[in-house]
Amino acid sequence: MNDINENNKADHILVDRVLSGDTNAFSFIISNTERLVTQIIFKMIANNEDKKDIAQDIYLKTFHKLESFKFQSKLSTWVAQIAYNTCLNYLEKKKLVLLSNFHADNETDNELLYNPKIESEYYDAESVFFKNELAQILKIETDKLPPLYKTLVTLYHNEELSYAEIAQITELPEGTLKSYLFRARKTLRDNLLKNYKKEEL
Amino acid sequence: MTNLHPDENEIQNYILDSTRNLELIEHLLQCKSCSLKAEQYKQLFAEIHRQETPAFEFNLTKLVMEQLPQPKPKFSVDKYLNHIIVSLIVMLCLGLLYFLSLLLPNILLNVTPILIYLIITVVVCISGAIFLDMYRKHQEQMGVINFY
Repeated sequence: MNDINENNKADHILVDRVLSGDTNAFSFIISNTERLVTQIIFKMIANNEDKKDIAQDIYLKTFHKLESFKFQSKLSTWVAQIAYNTCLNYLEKKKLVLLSNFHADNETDNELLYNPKIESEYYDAESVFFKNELAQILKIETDKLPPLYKTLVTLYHNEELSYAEIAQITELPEGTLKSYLFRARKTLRDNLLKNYKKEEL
Repeated sequence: MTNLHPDENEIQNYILDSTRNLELIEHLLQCKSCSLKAEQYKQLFAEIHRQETPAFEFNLTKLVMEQLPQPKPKFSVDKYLNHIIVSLIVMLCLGLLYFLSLLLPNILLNVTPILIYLIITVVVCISGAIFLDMYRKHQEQMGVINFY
């Protein structure tokens, strides 16, 4: 509770200082939120050149919209929301899909998993599932996920945000968010098992 | 043992949430396939958590700050009001000192050592209290803006 109050106080001080003309105070806002914003950009945008432009665009938007921040959430959550929406607009402009037909494809995979014979084959992968190269393969498999899934997994597992905060950032209902997260984790696990198995064969 | 296998959602939640579902724990203790799934999820989550945080190769703060409008010097009534008040106080003090300097020899001749001692004690006490209060407030404010 104290942390929340302290955060809120710090947010108030920083916003007030920027709004009263102390532009340098904005550098504190950037350094406080850079990690979160970078995570969102890297998970949603594939093109490296565009990542740079989008990062600048996000903070310039934040600076110009700062007056409209009403302290109804943490400042970092608000900045993350701007980051998410900016990336979303970019994907829409480039006609790239946030979630694609991933569900449909994945349902087929999930159905297969319920076949006890196949399921037992996956379990044979136990001996190779958690080896040193897991980190590398996990990165490859994570990159294959749709941008939305990647972002949700990162915000929950790496940034340790609550469901409520993620819901605020992505403007998704909490139920949908939990369902997407479940599917993303399951897909990761299933793909890891499948690919390990393939490598073995 | 519960014969029904828990669904994967329950297994994921069991790994993520510390709240204990006794029925599920009992099942996991006896069902090899479910306990294996739980273990795989546990390690998967740990590995995701360990994943490297991406970072830009350029200094984002510097890049953004260069594009922000520089603060314009603003006319501040408060600032000028403060200057006027301080100047007024200084002038009054100088006037007071002028009159005191005329009377000072007589005053000093009539002041007893005990009175001087009392005056010094009071001044030191008040200054000390003000200093401590200012120091406490300064520490509090530094604590609030310490982001590192």
